[in-house]
Amino acid sequence: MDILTINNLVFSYEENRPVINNVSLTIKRGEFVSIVGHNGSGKSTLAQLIIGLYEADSGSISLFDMPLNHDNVSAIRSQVGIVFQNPDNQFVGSTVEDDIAFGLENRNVSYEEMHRLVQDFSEKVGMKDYLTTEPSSLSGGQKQRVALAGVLAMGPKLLILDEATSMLDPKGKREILELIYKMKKEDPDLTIISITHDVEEAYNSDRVVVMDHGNFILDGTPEEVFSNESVIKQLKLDQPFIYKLKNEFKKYNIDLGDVKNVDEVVEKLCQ
Amino acid sequence: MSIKVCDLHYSYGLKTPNVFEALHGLNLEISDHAFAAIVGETGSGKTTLVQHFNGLATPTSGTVYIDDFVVTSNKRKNKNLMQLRKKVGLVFQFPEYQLFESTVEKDVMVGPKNFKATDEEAKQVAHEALAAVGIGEEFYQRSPFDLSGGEKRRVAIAGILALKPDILVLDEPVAGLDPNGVNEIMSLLTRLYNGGTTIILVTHNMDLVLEYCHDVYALHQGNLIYTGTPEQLFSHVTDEMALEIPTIYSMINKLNDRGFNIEEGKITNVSELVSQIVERLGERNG
Repeated sequence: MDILTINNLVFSYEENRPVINNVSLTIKRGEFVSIVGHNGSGKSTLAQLIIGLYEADSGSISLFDMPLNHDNVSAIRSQVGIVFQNPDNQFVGSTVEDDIAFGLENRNVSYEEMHRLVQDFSEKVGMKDYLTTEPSSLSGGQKQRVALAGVLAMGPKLLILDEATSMLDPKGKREILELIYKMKKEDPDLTIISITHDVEEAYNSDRVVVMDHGNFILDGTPEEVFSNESVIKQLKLDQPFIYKLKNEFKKYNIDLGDVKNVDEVVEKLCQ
Repeated sequence: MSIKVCDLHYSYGLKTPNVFEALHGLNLEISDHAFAAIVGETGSGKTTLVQHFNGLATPTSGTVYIDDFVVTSNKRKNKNLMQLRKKVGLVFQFPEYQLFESTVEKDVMVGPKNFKATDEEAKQVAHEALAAVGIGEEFYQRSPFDLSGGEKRRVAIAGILALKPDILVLDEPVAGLDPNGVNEIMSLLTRLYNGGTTIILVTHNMDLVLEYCHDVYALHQGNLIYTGTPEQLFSHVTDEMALEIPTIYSMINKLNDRGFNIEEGKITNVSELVSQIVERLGERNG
């Protein structure tokens, strides 16, 4: 099943200055796709179009085989979860428990079911001991974990992460990423679109789409995308550490071959 | 201007049941015209420490000297705090959230006007500060809220620069920016440093520390656990320090565990690392 199909999508905030410039994309169930690109490349606008916050100038979007339009937008949104960049901008509850339950309450879930889901998902994200805590006293990483629990408790088919780790310290970042990889492992059908600046993060997903000036410039596996040096250089994108290393060794005519991480490089050099 | 911190203790919530000592008697010196980093995990006391540098926080006990200025627990002795705040500019985390005026120009004029500059003077220094951060005239009459993330942050930094500080302290200045934005901010700081300003970064970003900073101060649970160069720190990080190290150094440490003898003190980027590895490989095979 296709989770997302975008056809010839065009969108502009101001007339004749398209921010999304006639793009097409298909994402299948269970894919973990990173969308990378500079600020202003159109990444976040794309996410907002996907959840129907903006209306396209032309072209079409469908999710879960339903066209995105006025009639379907609620049905579609109920199956999409989104976690934003700023952990402080997405709290509504006065306690962690209230916050995780908020979306479920809006959906008229019974009290027993809600209680079960809150217990379940707070445990999954490692925040069960904080149910009665005020969100404001949590660390950034903890806040994003609570936000993730609230979103996942709704059972979305599609999870969108809009720079969800970019405001966190390294520990918070690692907590969130490990959690997302774990969730993905437990539920291989969960489709994830991650909008990110972090190339190491993108390197760990299944597929990378590079955006620039409202266009998709590259679309492929992390290996395919990050080994395309001309585009990476032209767009001044950062390269994952492992590629910087490989390229530097190439200057000495040393081919590291198919190495995926630092440990494998060290192993190879010690042979 | 140099900073000297003597036996600095600071507690939050004094005279309440929730009293919490965040700094446990710190001693440190930051020399004139330094490019320094203060590192440590979240909650280690980094931000609390730098708030003493311009008297935003006053010690529970101990003293902070900033040239001739003195910040102590005795508030009556803390004279000329206004002047101190002009000398030491503090840029908070995500400073763009503090932009509030209707135009970029007006926003940068707020600081000088608080220090009793006339409209004309304030405009003059605002223009100089905006030029320093690379924000051109075409931006002056625009709303700060229409700018990109990197631009907003540069405008916010210009607001502090308009006070012409000798010491600029920045709390996580590149957090949340894309690689372009990071380069903009770091080249700005390098320019300011070359122009004579002392730069103090509070950061989790060890790659920046390695690339730009000359001195590093590591805090852990309110204690100073290391001072020295970044290269020395990253070759001697232990788990208890709770510090992330740059990927380059985790690789060096792994290679050295396998007997590679990489001289870590000399490496700040990938090409220096690879050049040394190739040298060592040559020695092994040669």
